[in-house]
Amino acid sequence: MIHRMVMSVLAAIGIASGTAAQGVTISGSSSAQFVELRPLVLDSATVAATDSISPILRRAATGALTNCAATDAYCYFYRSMPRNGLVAMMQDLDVTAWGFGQGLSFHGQLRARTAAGSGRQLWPQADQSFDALSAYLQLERPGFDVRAGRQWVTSGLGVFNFDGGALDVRPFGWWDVNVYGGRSLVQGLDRPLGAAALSPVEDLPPPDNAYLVGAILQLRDLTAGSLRLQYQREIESNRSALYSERMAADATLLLGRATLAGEMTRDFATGAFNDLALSLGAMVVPQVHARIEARHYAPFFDLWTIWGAFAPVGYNEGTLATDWSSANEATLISLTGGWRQYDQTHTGFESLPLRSNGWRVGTLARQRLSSVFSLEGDYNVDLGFGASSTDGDLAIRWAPSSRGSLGIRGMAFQNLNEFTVGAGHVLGAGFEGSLLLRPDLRLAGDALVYRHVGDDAAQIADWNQRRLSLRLEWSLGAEPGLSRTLGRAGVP
Amino acid sequence: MKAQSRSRAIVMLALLALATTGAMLHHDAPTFPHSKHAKLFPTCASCHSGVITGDAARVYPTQAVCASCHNGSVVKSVSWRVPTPPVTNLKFSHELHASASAEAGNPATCASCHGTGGDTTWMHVSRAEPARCLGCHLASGHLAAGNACATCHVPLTQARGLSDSVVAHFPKPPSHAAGDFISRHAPGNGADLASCATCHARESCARCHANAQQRPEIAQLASDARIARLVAGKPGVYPTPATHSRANWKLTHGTDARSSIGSCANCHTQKSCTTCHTGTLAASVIRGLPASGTGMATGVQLYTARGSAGGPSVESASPPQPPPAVPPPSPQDTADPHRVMVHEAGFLASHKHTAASGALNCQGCHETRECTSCHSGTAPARSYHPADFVSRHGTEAFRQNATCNSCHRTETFCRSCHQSSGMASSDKARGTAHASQPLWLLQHGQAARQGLTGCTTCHQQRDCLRCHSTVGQNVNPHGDGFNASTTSQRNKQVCFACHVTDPMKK
Repeated sequence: MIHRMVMSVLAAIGIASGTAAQGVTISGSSSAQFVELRPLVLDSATVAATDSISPILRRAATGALTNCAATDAYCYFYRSMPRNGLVAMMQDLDVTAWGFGQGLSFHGQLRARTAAGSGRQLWPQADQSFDALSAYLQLERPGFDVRAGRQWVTSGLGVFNFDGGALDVRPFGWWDVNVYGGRSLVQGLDRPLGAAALSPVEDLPPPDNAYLVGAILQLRDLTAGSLRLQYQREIESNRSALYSERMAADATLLLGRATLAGEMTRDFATGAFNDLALSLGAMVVPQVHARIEARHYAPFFDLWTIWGAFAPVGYNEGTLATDWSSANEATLISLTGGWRQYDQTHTGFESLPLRSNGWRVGTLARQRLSSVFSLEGDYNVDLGFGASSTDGDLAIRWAPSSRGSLGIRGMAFQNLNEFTVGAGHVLGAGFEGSLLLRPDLRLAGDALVYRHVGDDAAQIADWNQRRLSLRLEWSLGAEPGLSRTLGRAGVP
Repeated sequence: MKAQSRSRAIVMLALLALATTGAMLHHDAPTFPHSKHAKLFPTCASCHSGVITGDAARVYPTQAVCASCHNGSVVKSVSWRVPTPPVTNLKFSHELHASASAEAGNPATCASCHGTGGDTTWMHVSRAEPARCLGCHLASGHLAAGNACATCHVPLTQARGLSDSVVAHFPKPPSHAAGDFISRHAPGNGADLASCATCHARESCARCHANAQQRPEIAQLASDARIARLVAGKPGVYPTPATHSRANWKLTHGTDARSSIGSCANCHTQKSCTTCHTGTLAASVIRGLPASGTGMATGVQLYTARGSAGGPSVESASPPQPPPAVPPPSPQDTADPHRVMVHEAGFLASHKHTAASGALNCQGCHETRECTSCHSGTAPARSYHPADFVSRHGTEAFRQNATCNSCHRTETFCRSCHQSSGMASSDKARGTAHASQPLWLLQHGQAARQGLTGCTTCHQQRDCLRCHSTVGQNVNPHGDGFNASTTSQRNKQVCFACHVTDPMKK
């Protein structure tokens, strides 16, 4: 892994320097994170060792709810395994090199990662030790850009990565046409979307790899608004079938101090509108911004899965958000609320209803107490189908200068899961801080402790844990004529 | 008694000496008793011929001229020294004034300016009083707006005799105290610049102007060590221009920057921009600003506050400074930071639409990698999720508001974690994930239709096919909204996951 990583970086730098590049910028983030988790494991108890609490459920001596089959001598339940600790290490490198020719530049985003410890298998994609998230050449010319290599397209349909090419043409000042295509990749991984990547977690993976093709038309006028239309399809590599065929339309209309926005995504395979939303945002009075939105949402599933055939329903939701900030923006208070109602499922029993609506409210407040201290807190309640939660966070931050800060954070939250593994409340506390050692070098870290108290009868999940993370962010080189600074992405 | 009288006399003499010395130090009138000599000299030029001719050596008489009478025999001897020229930044030409007044038909005499208090008695004279100058030159007063300072004053850099303290306490014109003075103080022409140069040097401007070296009007000003000492370590003063209060200024200032980056450069260095503009799209514009450097003004200092769900904010601040040795030249000096929220509260969570519609030019401030480093979904996005999100993500996941799958692929992220942590009960007939729902089998249909994405974070397709397939229990999962035709037209293979024969041929 390290070998591949080093070789890739050296290759990137070598390309830049060996071909008389004018310069290279490299920014990196080295992080190490200690996490504790307690996986669940299936356990059993004899029927005789359990007490009946319903025709189906029995309770074990530990208090855990168990499932018992009439013909079986055992009842089954899940319990938490001993605490597993892991240290996840990650090295991100972002490389930009230019000067190979007029407007020609190279962009690469490389990630090496590994995990150590008894729970290393719990870290997502722990066996994927190296990712080349992007690596492409870009030619920028007045009126058009061309990209070739591993790249991403971000759009109303989502975020997709692929190996291929993209052409971005700007025939007029406010027109932009982008066509792209290439081999589909698994989102966030540098592996093709196919059986090899998905078979470990899916018995019926896509039969073949896929190609992604699409086009985006954007019209943008700073004074009037913007419109972006997108069509995209994912084609099985043998071209016998589609994995998806979708379109998106997003528009913004500027109406004085108000903004009217709409979005739509449509899945041609199921004929469903996955997103239909209309929102109006405005500065209703000085320092008070409000936004109201009406939305219909229905989930989208790739056509290589059977999930779309299950006719999933969507929900209609109305949300209202408003925030007030003082004239000097030392105080900010934000309120949000929403109500959603699911479409009729035409299934189930009236005598055994599940919740078919939900609501949520939340508030966020920030107060700059002085030139160096600030206070921030939020509280949210989300009551819905499947799960509900109540959570609150409070943090105070000391930032004596722009070079660094130190904060103390406390939190409490309660999860109420309607039909999943457990419910309980968690209390947490810790600190976080960052220090700019040099304009191009920053150290950031945090340490947090959580105490989980199970509220449910099952008592099968234990979220007691400690967490610690450290990150070192740095940059080398600068664009010609520009001073070197760390990007904002690394702010803790 | 005698001793007492002597002591009293000594005290009186001492006091008299002090008073005399003090009076002499503050006495503006010529020490030469002109009035006593009124009968001797018929013209001023007898002693001050240089005033008329411009010969500096003959502006005052010499000791020898006095000694022609004060030789000790005719009259008692006297001591006479030519007065030291006063330390001032005033400039005056007797010759020009004489010729100008003559041309105007009202020839000025010496007494016009030097007559004591308007007394025209011969040789009742004193130093010219500034009020008399202003009487002709400045009807509106000494420091009135519009006055050309250079009419009477030499540039500061030429008034070398003035001390730091004198310079620091130059009177401040009332116009400089106006709230918007700094925003409109640029000299409009050479005459304005000459007025500025009366009190200011290049260092005065360079204290605030990051582009001092590029501005020709600043380059024309000479450097002055006294000003350099006075402004050393003092922060620049950067009032907020009216344009910056415009609606959506934070998001639309690029248009102004492109059209007049030179104006921005008065207050901003590249660092002001690169605090937010980490992308390269605006780089060509930003290059029009001066880079930060030692010995130059810092420019408006911005720094990002902590990024959180409320979106990034920037703060401008003058760095804390020690108390100035001299009174600050402007009341706008402040060390209070000014926070500017770039995006509204909650923008991080709701930015999808803004980005998707192109309403904002994201690349103006953000590198593409900022999107992918978060949306790649395999790195901990610590600035996005609240602390311990692994414990509390269930509610948001069940709400399936489409934001999860913008970063995380259900199969490779959610399900792989749920499987490795034991949450997923795939292939386990007696899974207890739904343990608290004893009649779950009868309820799962509604749950699946309402939250199918949540189901797929644990369940594989085969889990459902056990019942919902023609080779299983043949339970039809298709609901009212299922359009078999459009689906099969695009991918018939998916039909055969459940159906042994082509269902569209029935």
